[in-house]
Amino acid sequence: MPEDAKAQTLQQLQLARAYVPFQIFTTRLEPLEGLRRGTIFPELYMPYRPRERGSAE
Amino acid sequence: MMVEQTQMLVQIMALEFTAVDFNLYLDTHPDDQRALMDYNSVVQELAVLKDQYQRRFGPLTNFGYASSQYPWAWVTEPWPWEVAF
Repeated sequence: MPEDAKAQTLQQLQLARAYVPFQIFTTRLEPLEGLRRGTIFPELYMPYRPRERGSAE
Repeated sequence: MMVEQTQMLVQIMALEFTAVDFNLYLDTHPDDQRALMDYNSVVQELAVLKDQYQRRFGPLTNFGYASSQYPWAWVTEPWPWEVAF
């Protein structure tokens, strides 16, 4: 797509709206495990895992 | 630095992390009684542990939260970057 067409398309876009489900407390990790994972809430533990460049999952 | 001292520091850090994570949760869920009770018990455990630590190994912060033995302990204990965890 040419640059000016791209710019025009971007101007027509609406601002994004974010939706975040309300967290409900279930259980918590042990303090040391929480510190290691960066959260005490098991349902919020979503680590990015290293993967091959270009692979889908 | 004694192994026991570093172990206590790690435990304190872990409990502090648990407390601050509950803090963030409770900011948006102030009516969650179960989380609040859990937070309160963590705070109590943390206070006991900090007190034990500071009696044995010196202050965790520079002023206001623990008395000091002679000589002034804040500058005689290892600095955070000198602790090998």
